[in-house]
Amino acid sequence: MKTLLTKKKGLLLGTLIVIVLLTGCWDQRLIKESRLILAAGLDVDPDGKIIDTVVYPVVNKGSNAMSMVKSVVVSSTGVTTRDARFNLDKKVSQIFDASRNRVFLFGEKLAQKDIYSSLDVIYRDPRGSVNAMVAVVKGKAKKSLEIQPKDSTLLDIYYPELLRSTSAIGLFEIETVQSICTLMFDEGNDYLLPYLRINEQQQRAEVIGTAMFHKRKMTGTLTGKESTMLLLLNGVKQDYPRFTFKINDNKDMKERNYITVLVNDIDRKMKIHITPDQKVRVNLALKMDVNVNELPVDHLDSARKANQLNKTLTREMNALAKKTLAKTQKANCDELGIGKRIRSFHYGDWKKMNWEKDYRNISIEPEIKVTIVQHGIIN
Amino acid sequence: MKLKKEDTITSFQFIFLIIQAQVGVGILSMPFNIYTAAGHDSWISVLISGCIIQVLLILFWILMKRFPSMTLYEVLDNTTGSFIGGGIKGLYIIYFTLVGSSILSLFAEIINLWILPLTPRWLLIVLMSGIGIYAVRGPVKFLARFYVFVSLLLIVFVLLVVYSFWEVDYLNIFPIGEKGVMPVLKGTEKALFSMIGFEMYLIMAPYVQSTAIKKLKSASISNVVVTIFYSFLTLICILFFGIKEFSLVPEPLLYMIKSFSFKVLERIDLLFLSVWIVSVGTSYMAYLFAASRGLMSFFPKNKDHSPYVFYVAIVSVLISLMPEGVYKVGQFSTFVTHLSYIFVLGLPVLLLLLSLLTHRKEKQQS
Repeated sequence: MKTLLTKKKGLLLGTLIVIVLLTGCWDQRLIKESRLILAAGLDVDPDGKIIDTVVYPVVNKGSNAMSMVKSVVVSSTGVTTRDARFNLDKKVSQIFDASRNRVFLFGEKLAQKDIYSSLDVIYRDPRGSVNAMVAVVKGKAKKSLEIQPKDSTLLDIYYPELLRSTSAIGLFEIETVQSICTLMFDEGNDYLLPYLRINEQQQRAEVIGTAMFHKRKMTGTLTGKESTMLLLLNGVKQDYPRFTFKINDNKDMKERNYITVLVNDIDRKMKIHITPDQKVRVNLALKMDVNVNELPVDHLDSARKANQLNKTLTREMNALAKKTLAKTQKANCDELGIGKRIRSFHYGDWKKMNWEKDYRNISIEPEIKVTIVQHGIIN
Repeated sequence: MKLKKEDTITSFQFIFLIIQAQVGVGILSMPFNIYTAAGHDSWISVLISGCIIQVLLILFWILMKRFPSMTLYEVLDNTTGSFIGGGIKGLYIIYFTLVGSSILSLFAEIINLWILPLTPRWLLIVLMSGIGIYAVRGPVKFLARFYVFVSLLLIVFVLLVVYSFWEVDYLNIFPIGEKGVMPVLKGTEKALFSMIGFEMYLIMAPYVQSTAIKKLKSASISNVVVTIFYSFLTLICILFFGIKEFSLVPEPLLYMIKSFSFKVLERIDLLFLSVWIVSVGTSYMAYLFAASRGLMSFFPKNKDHSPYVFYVAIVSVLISLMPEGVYKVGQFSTFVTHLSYIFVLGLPVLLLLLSLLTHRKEKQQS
C-alpha cells in the first residue's frame, strides 16, 4: 500500500513537471510580436513583377491615455507574391502575419493575366487566409489601399463592410479565396468578382459592377444593373436587389420618367435543350415579384395601371437580360453554370462539345415575367 | 490457455472498440486517396468496400466462433502448431507494430504541417505513444470504456463536417458512373485500406462477454456506422471541391473546414484536428494492444499483456522516426497498407480454411 502511494505521488510529480515543460515553446506566435496584415492589394508592374501592398494596424499611445489605431500601408515588389511579401518583411519591423487577412484586392491588369498564381501561396499555407474576400480594382490596387475613407479609419474594416453592403443590394455574391478556387478549376462554371473604382477626390471606393472571370482570368466587366440581372438569372436573390427603368420620355421633369422596383421574390427555371448535333438552346424562365419603390409620375390606384406597368417592366427586363447574357457569352464567362449542367446531365453530348468555344455560340433565351405585388404604403 | 476471467467487455463496448480502431489517422486523407482512383464516384467505392468488409467480418466470425475463448494468436498456435504458428504470430506482431508506427508517422507529419511547424517530430511521436502506453497498460475494459467515452467526439466531428452542406454544389456528383466500373473498383481497394482496423475483431472477440451472434452483430453495427460515416465524408468532399480542385488537396476534410469561419471562432481546422488527435490515439492504442497481446502469447505463464506494452511502444516510436518528409512517410504507409493484404485478408481466410479442413475447434469445457 505504501509503495502504491509513493508510486502515485511520483506519477503526480511527473505529470506536473511535464505540464510545466509543455507550454508550447516552439510554436507560440504572439500578437505583440507580429504585424497582422488585414488587407492586401496585388498589382503587376510593366515588367511583370508583382507589387504587393499591405495594410496593418498600428496602435499609437495617445497623450491622454487614449490610444489611436491607425492603418499603415506599405508596398513592395517581387517576382512572385511570396517574394514581394518577403521583401516587405525586410522593410517592416516585426514579422508579417497574413493569417487574419480579410480582403484581397486585385489590380485590373493582374486580374486580366492570372489570379491563381498570385493566390497559390495562400492555398499552400495551412494558416493562409482562405476566407478573405476578393475584389478587383479598376486601375491599381495600390491606390485602393491609399485612400482614407471617412466611414472608417481602418481600411480593413471599410472594404469588407463595403463589399457586404453592396452584396446585400444584389450586385454580386461574396466570393472568398477558397470559393473562387473551386470555380477556377470547375469546368463550365465561372464566377463574378466585385469591381471597384477608386474616387480619389472623395477618398472612397465605389462598386461599379462586377468583373467577369473565366477560369483564372478576368475577361470582361458588367455594370451594376447587369450584375444584378445576371445574379437573378442565376437564381440568386440577395436582400435588396433594385432596378430603375425609364418608362416615359415626354416630361419636362426628368425625374418623372423613371420607376424603381425592389425584387421581392424570384422563381427561376432553367431548361436545356440539346439537338442531336449538339446545338444548345437554354430557356431561362424567371418569374419576378416586385415592389414599387419609387414612381413619381403616376399612382397605382388600379389593377389596370399595375398591369400596364407589369408589361413595360417585363419588356425592359427582358431587354436587359438579353444584353447581359450576350456580354457574358462574349467574355466566355459561364456564370450560370450551363456547361456544368450539360456535363452533369448530358454527359454524352458534353464529351462531343468544346465548351471553351461552344459557350459563345449557344442560344440563351431569357423569359422574364414581372408582377407588381406591392407598391409601398401609398398607392 | 485461458484469459483472465474478470477482464471482459460488453458487446456494446465492442461496437465502439472497432469503430475507434477503424476511424483514425487515415480519415483526413481518405477521401483524397479514393478520389485519385475513382473520381467523383468515390462514395460508391466506400459503400462497396463496406460490403466487402462485412463479408470478411462474417468469415472472421466463423473462425472465432470455433475458438470462442481464444485470440488470433492462440488460434494460430492451435491450428498450425507451435512452430509455424509461432512464426506467423511473430509476423503479426511485427505487422501490428508497423501499423502503429505508420500511424505515429502520419500523425506527426500532419501535425507538423498543419499546426505545429516548429515543434520537433520526435516530441509529438513520444507524447502520442506515451498516452498509448498509459491507456493500454491497464485491463482491456478500461480501454473499452475510454473508447466509448471518446466516441462522443465523433459527433463533434460530424457536426463540423455537416456545416459544409451550406457551401456545396450538388451538381458535382453528376454524372454518376462517368468513368465506368474499373475506377470504382480501384477506389474500393483504396477505401478498404482506409477502413482497416476491423481486424481487431480477431484480437478482441474473446474478451467480449456475450454470445457469438451478438459479437457479429456488434461488429456489423460498427462496420455499418463506419461505412456510412466514411461515404458521407467522401461525398461531402466531392460536393465541396468539385472535379478538378479535389486533386490538389491531399487532406480535403481539413482544407474544407479551414475555409469556414464562424463569428466567434476562426480556424476551425484546429478544433477539428484536436478531435482527430483523439481518434488517432485510439487507433494507435488498438494496435499497441494487439502487438503486446501477441508478445504475451509467447509467454504462457504470464496472463497480463501490460509488461510488453512498453517494448512495443518503444519499437514503434523508433520505426516511426525513420521516414522523414511527406514522400518518405507516404511510401512507408503505403508499404504498411500493402502488408495488410496478407495479414487482414490472406492469412485469416487461410486460417479459416485450415481449421475447417482439419476440423479443429476449441475443446468445450466441461
